[in-house]
Amino acid sequence: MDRRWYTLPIIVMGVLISFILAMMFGANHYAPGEVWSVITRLDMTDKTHQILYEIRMPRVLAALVSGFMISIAGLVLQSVTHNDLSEPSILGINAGANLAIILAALLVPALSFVAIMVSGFVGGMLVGLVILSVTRSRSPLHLILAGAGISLFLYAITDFLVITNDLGQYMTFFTAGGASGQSIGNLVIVVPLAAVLVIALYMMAKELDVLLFGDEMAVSLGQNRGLYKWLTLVIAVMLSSIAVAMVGNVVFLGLLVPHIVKMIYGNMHKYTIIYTGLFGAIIFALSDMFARVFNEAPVNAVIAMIGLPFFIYIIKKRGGQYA
Amino acid sequence: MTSVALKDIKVELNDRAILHNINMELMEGRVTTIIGPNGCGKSTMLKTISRIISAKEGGVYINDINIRQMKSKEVAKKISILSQRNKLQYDVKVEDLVSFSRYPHLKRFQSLKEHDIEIINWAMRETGADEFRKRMMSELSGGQAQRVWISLLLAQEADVLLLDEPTTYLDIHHQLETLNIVKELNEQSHQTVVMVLHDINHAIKYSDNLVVMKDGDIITSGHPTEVLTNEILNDVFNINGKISIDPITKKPILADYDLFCETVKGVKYGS
Repeated sequence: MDRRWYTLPIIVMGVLISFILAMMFGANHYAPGEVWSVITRLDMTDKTHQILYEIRMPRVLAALVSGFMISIAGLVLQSVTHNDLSEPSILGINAGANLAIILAALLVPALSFVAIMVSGFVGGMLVGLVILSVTRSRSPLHLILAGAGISLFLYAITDFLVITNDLGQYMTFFTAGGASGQSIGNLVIVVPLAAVLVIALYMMAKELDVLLFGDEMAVSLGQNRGLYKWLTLVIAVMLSSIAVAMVGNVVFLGLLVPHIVKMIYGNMHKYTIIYTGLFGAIIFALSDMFARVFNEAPVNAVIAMIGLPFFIYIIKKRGGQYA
Repeated sequence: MTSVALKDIKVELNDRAILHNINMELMEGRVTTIIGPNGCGKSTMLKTISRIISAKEGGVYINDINIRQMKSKEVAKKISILSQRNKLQYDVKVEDLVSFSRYPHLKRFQSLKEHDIEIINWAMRETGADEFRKRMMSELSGGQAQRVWISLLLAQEADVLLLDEPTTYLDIHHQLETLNIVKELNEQSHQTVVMVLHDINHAIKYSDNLVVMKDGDIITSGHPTEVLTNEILNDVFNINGKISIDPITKKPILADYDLFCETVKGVKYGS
């Protein structure tokens, strides 16, 4: 077996450990024993169990699954666009999803979670189409400029709609990002969906490899580039929009995690999809935990604070061989 | 066997005609070398055959079927190309890169079978790339990287190999090594080889057939002994070349060459 798989058990353990830690720490701290008893023998008459099961656990699970989805979406977007700076929020996909959600909320006042997800996907996909047309032009810089422009433009419209319609409270949740206020019901929808999407991506790992190594390689190996660019982009947009519906606009995570993983494991998607997902889950769950501990700080700020020094350290250490 | 023919090919890039009306049949099982000055359309021709560039008019036919009507993977099983600038934007392990070669042979969602792995291993042994199969591409020298690319080409198992300046950036030893590998493989497995080379003596030494191009047209083609004359060199490359016959190999050789006197003002040339 390839040695790149050797670290898999450690990382899976890391996910479990970060789940336990995130369950323990927050506005109130709980002992590991209490967390363990919620998992093994849940007692809903117990006040502590009730809080841990109904409030803390959905939030931690939402953080894990969103981190998983956002990071994988970032990885796929980087490969499809051949651009190391691609990420759902930088490309404007999150902004598109956000605007569509607000428009839907204006039309239908009591929006269900599934409707939020679907409208998010429609908005994200419209931006995705623009991205796909921009990737055909030559310069990678074009793409990032277009993404940043689209993002600002869509957020401006969103803000306008929010202010004129007095949707401020509803919207803060989406723009600030955060895993609070989740229910088990939402997770029951999201987790299987995320699993199906990521399995579909994993089946296309070799297609992503060929796409990553450029158009000439794809043509000479006889790949149907258009089809796979489409499929993988649609899946990446779906993953990002579901994440937006659940935790709002999370920035930087989708950029940070794939880069850390590629520096350690190389570029083959067979490995990077799995590791990116798992690292993303860990980093987002722990960031959300710190956000809770520091009196509900914005999770984006926490990700930047934890992630950036680590990111710079890796770039400096491995910079010669990378990028 | 696979016969490849170019019929009435016209290629334009940015509204500039690069190839005008090219008609050519690739010599099956032989080594053909295309020579010509920079910008004459040599690379464009290889890229058109391998579908990287699409022709404005005309078509490339494999066994009398237009490649545009064939499935991409089917074409990739017949024709493989080694590009001129194989600079990788992303780093990758040698054996992983070579494994890409099996892509056209795999069905959708299928991963490498034992048979594919055997072929990958064979290709890397054949070129000597297996010595550094666990290393990253960025750690290799130019000569080593070229062996990896040739392994990729071999493991693709196409009947027609296109090589676009395979010796560029290599020192003389590695140039000969690369060309020897190509020649040996052509002799062993009778694959059709089409190369673009700049060194005229290499072209003579390794080819069964020479194609001379200038300004998007084929000027002449045939066996090196027939094709290479002083007039052709003067006309195509604008050099004052002298072709003589090598006493040992009895093949023509570009023995002496210089620019014509009038090419650069104020400097005297010529022997």
